[in-house]
Formats: sequence, C-alpha cells, structure tokens
Amino acid sequence: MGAVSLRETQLHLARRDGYKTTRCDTMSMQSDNVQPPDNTSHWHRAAVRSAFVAGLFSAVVCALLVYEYCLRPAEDPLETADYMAMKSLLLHQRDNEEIRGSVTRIDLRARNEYFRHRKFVAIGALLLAGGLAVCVIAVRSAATLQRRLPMPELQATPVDLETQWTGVGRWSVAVLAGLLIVVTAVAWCAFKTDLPQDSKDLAAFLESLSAGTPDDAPGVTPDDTPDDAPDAAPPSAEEIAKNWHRFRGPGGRGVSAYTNVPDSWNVATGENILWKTPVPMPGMNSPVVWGNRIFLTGADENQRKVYCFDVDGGKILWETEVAAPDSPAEPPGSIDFTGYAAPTVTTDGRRVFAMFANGDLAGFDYQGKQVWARSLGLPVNCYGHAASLAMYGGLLLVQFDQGASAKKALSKFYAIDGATGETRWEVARPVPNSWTSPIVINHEDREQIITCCDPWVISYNPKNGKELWRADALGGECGPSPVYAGGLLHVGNEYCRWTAIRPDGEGDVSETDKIVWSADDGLPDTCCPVVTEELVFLLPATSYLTCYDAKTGENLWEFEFEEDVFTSSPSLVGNRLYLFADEGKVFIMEFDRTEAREVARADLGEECATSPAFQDGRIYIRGEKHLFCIGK
Amino acid sequence: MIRLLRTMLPLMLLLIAADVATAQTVIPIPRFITDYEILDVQLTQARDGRWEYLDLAAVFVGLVLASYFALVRRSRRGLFLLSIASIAWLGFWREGCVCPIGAIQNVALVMSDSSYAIPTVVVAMFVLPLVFTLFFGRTFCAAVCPLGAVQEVVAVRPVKVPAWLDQTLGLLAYVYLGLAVVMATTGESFLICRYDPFVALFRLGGSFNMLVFGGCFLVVGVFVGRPYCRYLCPYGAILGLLSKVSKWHVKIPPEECIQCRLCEDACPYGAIREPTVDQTATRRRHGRRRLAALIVLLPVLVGVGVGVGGLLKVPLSRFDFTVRLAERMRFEGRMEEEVQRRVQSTGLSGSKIWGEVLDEYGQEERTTDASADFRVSGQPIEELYRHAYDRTMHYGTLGRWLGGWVGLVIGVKLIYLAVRRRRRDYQPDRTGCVACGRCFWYCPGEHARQGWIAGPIAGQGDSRL
Amino acid sequence: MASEDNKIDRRKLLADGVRVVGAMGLVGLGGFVAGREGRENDSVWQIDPDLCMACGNCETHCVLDVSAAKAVQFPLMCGYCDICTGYFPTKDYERNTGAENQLCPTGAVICRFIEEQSGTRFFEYTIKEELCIGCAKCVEGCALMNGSLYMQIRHDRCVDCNECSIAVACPTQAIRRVPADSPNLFKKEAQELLDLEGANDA
Repeated sequence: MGAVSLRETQLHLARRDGYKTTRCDTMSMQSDNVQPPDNTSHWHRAAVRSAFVAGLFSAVVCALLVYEYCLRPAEDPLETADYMAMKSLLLHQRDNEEIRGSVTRIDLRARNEYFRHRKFVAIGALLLAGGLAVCVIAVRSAATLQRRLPMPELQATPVDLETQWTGVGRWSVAVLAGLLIVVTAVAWCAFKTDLPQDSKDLAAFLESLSAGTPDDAPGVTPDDTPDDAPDAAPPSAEEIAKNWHRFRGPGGRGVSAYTNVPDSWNVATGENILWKTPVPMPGMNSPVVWGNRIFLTGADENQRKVYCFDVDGGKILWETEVAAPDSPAEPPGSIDFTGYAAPTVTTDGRRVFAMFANGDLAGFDYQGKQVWARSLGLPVNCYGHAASLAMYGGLLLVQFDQGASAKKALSKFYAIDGATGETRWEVARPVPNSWTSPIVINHEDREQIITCCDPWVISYNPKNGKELWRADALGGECGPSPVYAGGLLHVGNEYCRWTAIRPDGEGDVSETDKIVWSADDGLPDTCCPVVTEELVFLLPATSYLTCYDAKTGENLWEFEFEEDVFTSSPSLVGNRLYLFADEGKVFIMEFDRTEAREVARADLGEECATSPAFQDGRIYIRGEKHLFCIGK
Repeated sequence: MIRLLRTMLPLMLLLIAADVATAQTVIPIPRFITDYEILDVQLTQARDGRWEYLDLAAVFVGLVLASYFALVRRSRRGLFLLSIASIAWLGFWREGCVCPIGAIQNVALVMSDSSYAIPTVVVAMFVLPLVFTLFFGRTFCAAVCPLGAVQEVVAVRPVKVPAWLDQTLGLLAYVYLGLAVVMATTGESFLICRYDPFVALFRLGGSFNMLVFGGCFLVVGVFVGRPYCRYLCPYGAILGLLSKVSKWHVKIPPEECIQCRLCEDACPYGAIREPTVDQTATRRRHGRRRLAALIVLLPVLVGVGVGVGGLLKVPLSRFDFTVRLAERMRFEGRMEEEVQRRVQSTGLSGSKIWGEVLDEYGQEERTTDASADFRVSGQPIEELYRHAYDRTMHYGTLGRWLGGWVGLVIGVKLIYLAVRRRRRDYQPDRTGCVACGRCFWYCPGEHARQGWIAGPIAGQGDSRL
Repeated sequence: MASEDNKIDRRKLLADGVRVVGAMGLVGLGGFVAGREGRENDSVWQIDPDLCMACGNCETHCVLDVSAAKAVQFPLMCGYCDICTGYFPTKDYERNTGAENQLCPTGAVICRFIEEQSGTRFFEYTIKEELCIGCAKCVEGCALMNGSLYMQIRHDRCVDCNECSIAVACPTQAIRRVPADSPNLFKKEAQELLDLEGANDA
C-alpha cells in the first residue's frame, strides 16, 4: 500500500513541476517524462552565468589582493639598510643635494605606497565581499531552480543501515581517541621546559639562583688573576692619592692634594705657563696624570686616539690609534654637545684605559701599545656617550647608560678586567641614557660603586655587581656625577633636586631616613659639585654658585656671576675654589660659611669645557686646542 | 651638554610653575604670553552600552522568528531571509561581537574568578539561546547565529558525510569545548574568539592567517554543510545536548510520515534518521552484552583521559604569559652562562661571543620586549620562577580535567552508538538537526499542506496501520 | 502496544524532567553569575600608559586593518619644545617639517608654531588621528623628554573583541579592561596634573 502511494506521489510531483527525475527506475516514469518549462531553464541559465561571472570576478579580486600581499616588502622601506645609509650619509654631507633629493624621493614613494596599499586593500575587500555575495546568491538561485526530487529505489526488504554505521562508528570513535592520545603525546614531546617541574626541583633551582652570584664571583677569585702578577697588582691608596688617576682626581671629588698651585698666570706673556702643547684631535675629556705622564684622548668620526704627554716639557710621548676589532662601522649620531671623545680616561698606574662616543673601549700599556680593545656597541644616546671611566683595583668600571627610555633596557654597567679586557661582571640597569660618571666609595668598610641616572641612584658591590641599594633621587637628564664626602653621598640634577644620602642602606631607600636632606636651589646641569666635610658647592651653567651646609642642607649663600657660563666642574685647592668658565676665564674664590670672595682671576685665552688636574705645584688643563701646564 | 635645552632655559626657569616642578617632566611647561590656550586631551568615550541591549533584543526577536518559521510556519524561505538579516546585522554591522559562542568563556571565567566583571548582556546572550533550545530545538543555529548563517548560505553542493564519520568528527566540538572552557578559566586565553574563523570575514580584514583560515572554512562549507557548526562549534555541542530534551522540535513531515524516503538524502548535515529495522534475537543479545561492556569501560576511559591529560601540563602552560616570561628568562640565563663560559675559556671580548652565541641559539637579540621590561622592573626573578611554577602546576590540573572530560565524552559516545532506539518514521536527529528547514520541500506531505499538489496525502499515511 | 506507549510516556516524562531541571539550572546560573559581587556593568579595553613600552605591537596586532590604538597628546605635560623628540628622529637630521625628517611614518604628528619668548620658540604638537597608525614611534621618542605623547585605545574605533589580540601580544601586559564609564587611562603624573587642575577650578 505504502509503495503505491509513494509511486503516485512521485509521479504527481514530477508532472506538476516538470522536473527531470534523477533515479528513474520505472518504465512509466520514462513515458511520463515532461520537458521542463522554458522560463525556468532560462532563469537557471542566467543564474549560472551570473554566478560564473561573479565567481570569476571574485577570484580575480582575491588573486590581486594576494598578489598585493605578497608584493608588500618584508621590511619597512624607511628602515632598509640602503635608506638608512643614505640618511646617515646626509648627516655628514648636508649640502649634497643629490643625496637629499633621493632621500626625499624614497621617503615620498614609501609613504605614498603605504596609503595606496591601504586604499587598495580596503576597496579590494569590499569588492571581494560584494562579488562573493553575488556569486553565492546566483549559485543558490541556480541550485534552487534546478532542484530535483530524488527518486529512491523501492526496497523489497528494509536494510538495517543503522547497525552497520554504528558499528563502524564505534571503531572510528576508538580511532579518534587513539589519535587524540597521539596528538597529546606529540605535544608532550614537542614542548619541553627548562623550568623546574616539581617542588623539590624548584627549591633547588631557587637555591642555585641565589648562590649563582656569591660575593666571591668566579671572575675575581685570586686563581683567575693573570700571571703577570707584579705588574698587575693594583695601585695602593697612597699612590692614588698622590696622582690624578681619573676624571676629577681621587674619588672623583675635584679636590687637589696640593695647595702650592699658582693663582695667577698670563698665557700671552707666558707668566707661570710652564708649557702649552697643541692637542691634535678634539675631545671634551679631561687630562689624567700618573707619575710623569699625562693622558687624554681625541677623536673624530673616523679616528680615535690616545695621547701620552710628558709632564716636563709637554712633548707627546706617544699617540696610538684605537683599533677595536668589532668597532661599529657607523659613527655615533647626535654628538653635537659632547663630541666623539667625551669620556675621560683612567689609569691604574700600569695601563691606561680609554673610551669613546662610539662605544669603543681599549687598554694601553705605558709604552703606548694597545693591550686590548673591544666595542660595547654603538650607544643609543641623545647627546652622545660621555660617562668617564673609573677603576676598582684591577677592574675597569664602565657605566654604559643608553636608550631614550629605561623600557628599552639597553643600559648596563660593566666591570672589565684591566689586563685582558674581559668582562668580569655586568649588570643591566633600569635606566635611560645619562652623562654621569661612576665613583667608588668606601663607607664604613663597605665598598660601593655609586651610579646616577634618571631616576635612580644605584649602589653596586664592586666585587660582583650585586645591587646594594637604590634611591629615587634624580629625574630627567643627569649630568653631574655623584660626590662622596664626610660620610654622605651628594647627588642631584637640574629640574629635580639636590639630595644628600647616607650610603648604608639596603634595597630601595627612597622613602627612608637614609635621605638626609634635599634642596631645590642652584641645581647644576653639567658641573659636578665640590663637597667638603662641611660645605657643598653647586655650580649651574649660568647664574649662581650656591653653597649649602653639607650636614643639614641649609642654604648658606649664593654668589652671582655676571655672564659667565660653566661646563668645567669646579675644583677645590686648599680653601680656594678654582672655576674655569667656558670662555676661558678662571675665577679663584675664597669662602667661608657666610660668603664667597673672588680673590684672583686669570684667563686661558681659549675656550675650556674640561676639568683641570692638580699636581705638585702645577695645574694641567685642556683648552679647546691646547693642553696647558700652569706652574712656577 | 644639555645646552640643547639651554637656549630656552633662562626664561623657562622663571616660568616653571611651582606645582608643575614637583612633577617628573624633563622640560618645564611654558607659560604662554600670547593668548594661546592649552588644548584639552582628546578622549574617546566608550560606545553606548545600549547598543548591546539592542543586540540582545535582536537575538531574542531572531530566536522567536526562527522558532516560528521552523516550527509553525515551516517556512524555509523565512529562515533563509532571517539568516541573511543575521549576517547583515550581527555579522557585518556589529562585526561578530558579542556572540553566545564566545560568551561560554566569559561564563566559565566568572565561575572560576569571582572578581571578573561580566556584563549582564553577555550572561543573557549566553542563556537565551540555551533556553530557547530547551523548548524549540536548535533554532538559534538555524538562522540567528551569524556564523551558522554564513555557512548555511554557502552550502550549495553538500556531499553526504557518512554517518559514522559525522558522529566521530562531531566529538571534536566537545573536545574544543573542554579546551576552551579550561583555558578560559585561567583568564589568559579566549581560544574560541582567537580562532573564530568568520570574524575576520565580518570585519573585512584581519590577520592574513585568519582570513585564509576563514576562507578555507567557506570553501569547504560549499561541499560539506556547516563544517564549523558540526565539528567544532562548542556552543553547538551544548545546544545539541539540550536539543535532545526540547519540548517541541522541527518535524520533517507536517503530519504523519508516509515513509516515501524522498527526504532520505535531503539533509546536508546528515541529521535525518531512517526508520529502524528489528534485529534478530541473537544480535539483540550481542548488542546488550556490548552495551554492558561499554558502560563498564566508561570509568576506565575517564581514568585514561585523566592520565593522558596530565601530559598536557607543559603544552598548555605555554599559553600563560608568566610561564612564557619565565621560560624566556631561563633561556637568556642559559645564554649568559654560555657567554661567560666562553669568555673565560677564549679570552675574546664579550660582545663578539654574544654574537656567536646568539647565532647558535637562533636569536636575533639578547632579550625580548617582555624580558627587557621585566629586567628593568627590578622584580625579583625568584618570584617570577615561583609564580611560573605555580601556574604550570595549575595547568597540569587543568590538563587532567580536560583529559577526563574527553574520556567521558568518548565513553558516552561509544555507549550512544551501542544503544538502539526504535524509530518507525523518518525523524531528525535532534542533536545534529539545526532546524534549517531544508527537508520540508522534499516531503510530499508538505507539498500537500501548501496545496501544491492535490489530494490529502496525509491520509494515505494511515494505510500503514 | 500498551508497553510501547508506556515506554514513550516514560521517555517523555524523563525529557520533561530534564528540561525543567535544565531550564531552572540555566536561569539559576544566569542569576548567580549576574548577581556576583564586584560585577561592573560594562568594561572596555584600554592601555595603561605607565606600563606601555611603545614596542609597536599595537600597530601590527589589532584585528582592525588600521589599529584602534593610537597616539594621544597630553598637552598639560607637553614641553612645547622647538626640537620635539617625538616629532624628529633622535639622529641629527634636518630640523624642518619635511616628511622625510619626521619620525612619524604617516605624518600624523602636526607641528604648529605658537609664539616666541626671548629667542625661545614654542610649538604645539597634535596628533591627526585619521592618519595615526599606532606605531608608537612618537611615543617612544617623547619618552625621552616629557612623555606627553602616549598610547590609548580609541573607543570610537575599537570593536571591543572578547579577547583583545593586542593584549595577547603586549609584552608588558599593559592592556586591561577598564570600566566603560571611565574608559581612558592617564599616566600617574598626568592624572596628578588633572587632579590639580580640577582642584584649582574648584
């Protein structure tokens, strides 16, 4: 019965809609076959055609988009090596119109290209979406217009399909389960971790981590010191006190050990000028003196040289060009304010060490032979690298702050073996670029390296670089180096404040009583302060010399200069301050707790931006062009 | 050296307002002498939240209409037009967010982390289709979900996927559901949203990979009906389960089935079940024994799943920011040790050795942005490692939960495939049926109901009795 | 026949029971979730500028063709410098407004002369938002000085994905959800200035 009604239904439907039957199994269907009405096939054909056209259109658009995507240069055209090279070439040949023209052209092309690409993709996406929509609609209409009813065969006996497919299904589910296990196992094998995976491992690992930087780090154990021991023994405290071994002398304090230096001279007449020697290459570093030798450096964008002068007569004993094997090919940019050789050299009495604005660092023996040279990499510094070097025993200390923002994490502090140039330890510093120089102090039998940068004053253990304490005391661009005197550390910079810190803290001491006092007036931008047990003298570039009580921070007096600008840091000789102004004028002042008096005035006759070195009866000062020896 | 600024200094020193000086700005803010007025900060306000209520209303209306079209009017055309509307509104206009599929994760997260803020709209968006499904079947999938609608529209030439394969691949949706829920509870990753294949299409842009991924789904969707809905969609998996007990459900014939078999191949989603044939007594006995064995097997499978899932600890932990950072720091530590070692043995300069070591380790730089930031932050590395360890252990637990869930799903599916239900008529498989209404047209009963063919065909159905 | 009907009835009863339990469960779940403590009404994605390191991922990782994250100027913090480090590259190229001398790849930072005070010239810097692509180059440059330029997600563009793909790629986890009624974040310092201004106005 069912079969009859089925057949009837099928024929009925076929006749009504005129559809071709698909699986025709009876003769009667053949005879009853009716041609489909014309208008349906007409519409169907139209739908197929428009689907085809829309599909083709979409495919073309899609292909164009993919082509555009593939064509896109892998590298930002404004960051390609060629373009960068051309731009830095323009830096040095500012008048070269040809380079300027091609820089402008490439730049314009890249920018236009960017906007063209964006427009292309936006329009392409819309066209593609539209094309696909039309295509889908057309295809669907075509499919609907051509829709046919199936003509299932009649089954004499029903087939038990379900038993069949569920059986296969169970097995395939099992296979899937197996596959999932395999995938899991593969993932397990593929992702291995280096981190501890059970609590015991974790404890051991954390243990090893804190033990990894013991106070006697492997780098400085006696076993590792070089064999040439007699030569490599670091200079004694007495030797250091007698000489002028670094920027601003012993401790970086700018305090002369000798009071018998002249307070008047005349460059024009030669009065009290023992000698005056031209320095072949420019540099803003200051002279360093050890025994009978004076060291300083000079550099331009291609060449870096270390000079050794004889204290008697001022003859250049030797000059050696620095040849670091991994020196960057490119000169540093943005050095207008500091030059290519701002860092002052340092010496341990056996070797002299020099650093330059391009990150090259080298050690020389006293005969002028380069012992080692390496590059710390081109510093990212908006005014040029300027931090001077410091020594701790046989270790050369390099404060290598760089980067516009601390977030770039480029800044480092290196302790380098003076004999070999190998890094003994290094620590990352959470600071941007700075222009201060590190000092080594010994406060209550704790030796510390003090570094200054925005915003942290950070103290390190010189043996292993472990941070001892830090204080949030600075802000912005830091020029003045820290000074330690009378048990207090004096730090500060312009636009922030001046702070005295007791350097016996641990951790972050910013909000603790280790901050003894702070003050806001007369903040220097470049010049380092002079600090005695009682007084602090601050010298901003312009305006006033300001004096504070070193223990309390009480503002004692201010001394106003007329128009003079100072870059050179002040120095203390006995009870007198020696101030070298940029134009070459030298002010010699006496002071007490109530006022300062100008007692003498001299002139160098040329511009001066460096700090003097004081020895027995002599002042060594580098002018813009000459090295002067002032003495009787 | 800061003479760059010095040109402006003398005047500016006077200009620094006392209050501003306390701030950490490097350059003081000038006080202007002309009548220049300092601009306001350009802020943007969040989009009007009422849009979302409108979306919710749209989904509600859509669900009502879809249920009406599918169950009462039995109008395929209505459903189709509703699909188009859904693609236009929820898809292209609202760019595919908020959607109930993604809301699974928000709900999962709020269950595990009470501090997580979940908007009411998202909860309502999640619950509404579930409630509708309990009463009307998967009418949400039929025409309201824009993802389903897109696939519905492109399914032009669907081929029949064998039922056994269809059932097996359908399990993947449950696996994906488990994975997505487990990962969502960590608050780190919303995988469903991250790998939504069609959202890039709705936004007419996105990452190249996601566009290709979505494009592939569309192309496959022309030949395999609704591949995402059937084999991946985690929400579809939940709806399928609820649909089993729905009060009403779409029917193929409007009245009685006459067993004409015309609809046999009508469903592009393999959701039409044919009448069953009675089995022989032996087979039935076999079947019963198999069923008993599989029920016993279920807990075993769950156990195996828990065991195997434990292996996922490390792979899953890679989704975690802290763990990735700790891994990176450890890796950088290894590089540093290597450099130290070589510097001491060769005496070459550190920077040169770094170059070599970076090359050997396949790295371009010593640090990544994240590790550089961590180093600057000054946070103790011990804390990082400890935290990463805790997180990793947590992922181990999650992995075991996931494994157990997958074991359960597989076991239940095996049991499902071993249970025999008796059917006299052609019926939609309630789990798989998305109520799209394609089968209506194939049913002679429907043609009679619409008055396209003469005669009360429905009455003939009685002849079977 | 009778047993068959019973079976169907039983199944129906079971389904009814499950349905009722399910519906109640769902409503209960909804109520429970919606009623949880600490629930904010609505939230949107935003960048915390104090955490942002201007890495440039915002430009490349947003789902939008042109990122929803853009640079914003905070004029109260700006130094109005004549040589703006967010406008010019740090390298000492020529200091003029030629596009090739600008840091911004799309020329979206607009520099306008304001006034001159005893030889010091002040300029106003604004972001032309339709050109900004969120590369954060100017933000990185400005961080050198006052840091008045910072990254923000612009809510008129953000499609508010459930999972923000920039947040996934952010190396400092600087992107988080904030309440929709205060959808902008300021630097700590900027917030202080704003508070101060508000106090002054009051």
